[in-house]
Order: sequence, then C-alpha cells, then structure tokens
Amino acid sequence: MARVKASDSEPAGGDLAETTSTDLTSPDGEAPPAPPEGRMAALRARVGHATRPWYAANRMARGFVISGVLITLVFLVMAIFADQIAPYGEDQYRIQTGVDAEGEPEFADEQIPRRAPPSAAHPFGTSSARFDVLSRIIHGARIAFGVIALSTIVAMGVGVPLGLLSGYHGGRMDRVLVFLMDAVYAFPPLILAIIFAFVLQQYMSPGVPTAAIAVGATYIPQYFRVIRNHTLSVKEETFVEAAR
Amino acid sequence: MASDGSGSRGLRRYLLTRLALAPLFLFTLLTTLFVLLRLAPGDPVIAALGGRASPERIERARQALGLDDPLFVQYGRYLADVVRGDFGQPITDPRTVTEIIATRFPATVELTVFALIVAVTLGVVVGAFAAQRRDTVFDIGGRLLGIVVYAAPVFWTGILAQLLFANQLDLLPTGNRLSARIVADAPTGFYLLDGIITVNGELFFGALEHLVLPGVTLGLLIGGVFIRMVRVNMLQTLRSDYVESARARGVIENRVLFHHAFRNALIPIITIMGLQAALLLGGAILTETTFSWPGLGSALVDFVRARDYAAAQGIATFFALVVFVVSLLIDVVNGIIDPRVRY
Repeated sequence: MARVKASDSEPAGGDLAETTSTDLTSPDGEAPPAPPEGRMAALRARVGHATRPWYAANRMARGFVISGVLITLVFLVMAIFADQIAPYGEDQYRIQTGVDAEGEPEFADEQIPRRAPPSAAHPFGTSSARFDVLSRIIHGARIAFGVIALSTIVAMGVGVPLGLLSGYHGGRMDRVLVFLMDAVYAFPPLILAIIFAFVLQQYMSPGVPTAAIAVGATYIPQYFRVIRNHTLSVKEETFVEAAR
Repeated sequence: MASDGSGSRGLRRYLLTRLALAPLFLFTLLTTLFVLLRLAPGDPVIAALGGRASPERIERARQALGLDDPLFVQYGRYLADVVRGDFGQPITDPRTVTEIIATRFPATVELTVFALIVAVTLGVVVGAFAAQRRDTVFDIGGRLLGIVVYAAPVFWTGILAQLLFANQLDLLPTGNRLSARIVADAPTGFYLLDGIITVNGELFFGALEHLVLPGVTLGLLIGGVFIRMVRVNMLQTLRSDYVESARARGVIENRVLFHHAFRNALIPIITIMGLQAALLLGGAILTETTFSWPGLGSALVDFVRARDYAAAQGIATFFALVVFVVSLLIDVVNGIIDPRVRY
C-alpha cells in the first residue's frame, strides 16, 4: 500500500526532495566544509540544476510560465497596494470631496449611483449597494491573498510535522494517521471546508482567518502524504544513519 | 499464458483486501465526521432556532435529537441509524434528511452525469486530436482551450452563460430543474428518466432544456482536465514499444492510433473520471448555487447557513457514503481492466 502511494506522489514531491535532504545534512554542521571555489562550483551546479527545466522547456511552456508569473504579480501588486490603486474605498458609497486636517477623508452627501453601467468614473460599473465594482475587485485581491497565504501555512504547519513524525517513527501511530488522512482525503474538499467553517464559527467570528483555517485543513492530507512517503525513503539513506 | 492463473488470483486477493478494508475505512470517515461536528461548543438547537423559539420548543428539539444523552450513546445511535439508512432529522425542516436526499440527490446525479458526458466527449476528441498533431497549431489550440476552460471558475462562466443564453438571447431557461407550469409526474425523481418512462415529452425536453446551461458549464470545467489527461496519455502510449512494433508490422496508422494507442491511454482516464464523478456527486456545490439548481449540494449550503447542524451532519454523512462507494467501484474496475494494479 505504502509503496503504491510513494510512486503516486513522486512528481509532486520532486522539488521537496531537495529541501528535505539539505535540511537533514546542514543543521548539525557535520558536512565537511568545502573549499571556497568548490563551494562556488557547487552553488553553480545547484543553480544550473534548478534552472535546467527552464532551458529544456519549449517556447510554449515558457510562455505559460511567464504569463502565469505576470498574472500572479498583477494580483500581488493589487493586493499590496489596494488602498493606493483602488479609486474608491472597499465599502465607500458616498463621493469623497477631500481630506480634512487630520488626513481623514471627507465625504459629500452625494452618493455613488446604484447599479450604474460601466463609465469613465466607474469602469466596471457599480453594485446595488452603491459600491464601485473595480475597487471591490482590487480590494478583493487582498482578501484572496490573505486566505491563500494563511491556509497554505496552516496546511503545511500541520501536515509537514505530522508527515515527518509518521514516516520517521512508523508503527501503529503511522498506520492510524495514514488511515485517518486517507479518509479525510477521500472527502470532497469543498464540503470538508464548509464543515470546518461550520464548526469554526462556534469558536471565532467569520473572516479571513476562519476561511483560511477551513480551507487549509482540507489540504493537510496532501502535505502529509508527500512528506511521509518521502521521509520513509530518505530515512534509509546512509547520511541519516551516519547522523545517528 | 502462464501468468494468467496467478493474475486472476492476484485480482481476487486485491479485491478481497480492498473489501476487507472498506468497513474500517467507512468507520473512520463516519467517526471523523461525528467528532468534527460534535466538537463545536454551544447548543446546536439554540444556534439553529435562534432566540425566537420558546423554551418548550427548544427542549422538544433537544429531546428529539437526543442531545441530552451522553456523547458515546449519541455516537452509537448515529452509527446504528446510518446503517439503517436513517440520516437524522433537521432542526429547521419538518422532513427527514432521508426524504430531503430522495428529492435533492437525483438533481445532483442528473447534473453530474450530463456534465461528465460533455467533459469526456470534449476531452477525448480534443485531447486525441491534439496528441495526434503534436506541436502543430491544433495541439497548441487544444492545450490552450484545456487550460482556459479549466482555469475559468464555474461561478464566472456560469453567470456569463446565464447572462448571454438566458437573458440576452432568451434561448435557454435557467434556475431550477423545470418550469413551474409543467406539473411533473415523476416516480423516480430523475426527470429525464421519468420523461422516458411516462412517455412525457414535455417533461423530458423541459428537464433537458434546464439541464443544458449548468451541465455544459460544469462539463467544460472538468473537460479541461480530460483534454490534458487524454493528450499526455496518448503521447505516452504513442511512444511505447508496442505502438512502435505495430507500426513496424505495417498496421495502418489510424488503427495504430485508435486500436493500440487510444485504448491503453484510456485506462488512467477511467480512473480520473471515476474520481471526478465521486467529487462531483458531492462537490458540484458551486455549480448548483450559481444556477440555483436544487441539488443536494445547495441543500447542504442552505442548512449550513441556517446553522442546522443535524441536517448538515446527515447530508455530509450521505456524501461520505457516496464518495466511499464510488471510490470502491473505481478501485474494482481499475483492478479488473489494468493488470498492473495489484497489491
């Protein structure tokens, strides 16, 4: 069973493999100190190894990578500088006239029109709650990034240590954990996230952290599997033996 | 061949192991669900009924749910109920969860089956075409199509499709499974099936009309995965030794493509298809809410909004059973069609 899964997760665990093996050798400092030029050569080899897929890829694959990076960057900039980029505030429904002495915005009594079609003032139109849709989208990027970052931290923070523990020690705990994780993994992720959010709402008010924990929890089994299977194979290596 | 005997014995052992592990797996799943939902502090009855209900009504609901019993008694009763096919009683709805499943689940199944047909057709046609003409314009176009339909979220495509085909062009209806004017005599709840059984053209075509927009939208989304899968698998099998040797033997190219390469490329696709079916039966929630499709997924969302923990637990349990049964079926089918899958 374990062997089948190890090969399952091989492609996904490809780049994780390197980080795991370096982590295991470097902290105790027992690796022989390399001469400076050797170190540079090693570094160069490492960079060469890391960038090889890029040079080996064809034009189309590179195009995909570049466009993906660009899209992500645009969203990242939108998320970080939302307040500066967005023409209106996230929940602003009145037209701003200026800034008072303390730097607080001042508003006119005039309201933003309800459900306006796209125009120069509102390129994406306005919603029925008088919000400028473009500004809502720009501010929304911030919320999306918050949830993504936090949920990844949650998923890794739980999945990676559990996977290491389970793979390294094995035994009954390993079997129970694998079974539990498989059961959770089989469940439709969206339903699982809804259930988590449902439970969480008893503990905390809804918001970015609640959503992030609910989403992150559904990804724990994936990190667990990759790390556990890799730990299983790496722990038999001689350098782990030597460190012991 | 000599390995045939051991092969079928291996298959039998594989299936038996899988079946023997099944109850344990299901038990883990149900226990996890129960623990998760019972972990929440606070009184589920008060959460669902709010401050409006009288103390007597709250007390009655508590007793009906058996919330005053110790936790392990509730747990035992929950397992026993599930075994008998009883998924409990919602707090905010007089019907039982089993009744709700009976009316809502057929809608989800119809949507899933329709979407899978669209997805497989799209995936196989475009994927095989792209693989055959590798690195040509068709290949790049097919791959781009796959990425675009996969990357577009269903609530986005869904809303645009409704705007265009329902509001602007007025070609297709949207929302719900049938127009209100059709009075359906539906013995099974699967409207397409019922339309055929009762020879009711109005029911059949009315249901089909309503199914087109959500079904195609969801089908396109999953089709993106299939395009990539079919293409990659075709390319892999086209490189393999037996395709090479078939070509060397002078087998005509079309036969090589469809007889030798395509059939083998289908094996991983069947696995993915099964997994997608399992996920969709429980996970078409976004599509269902975007199109106001009265399936079980949107029912779950409604009950979660109403903080009805009893109904949410029942529906989630049912989904767990569905996923479990479908994934068991996939493993069995895989074990039969692909002799390499044994353990």
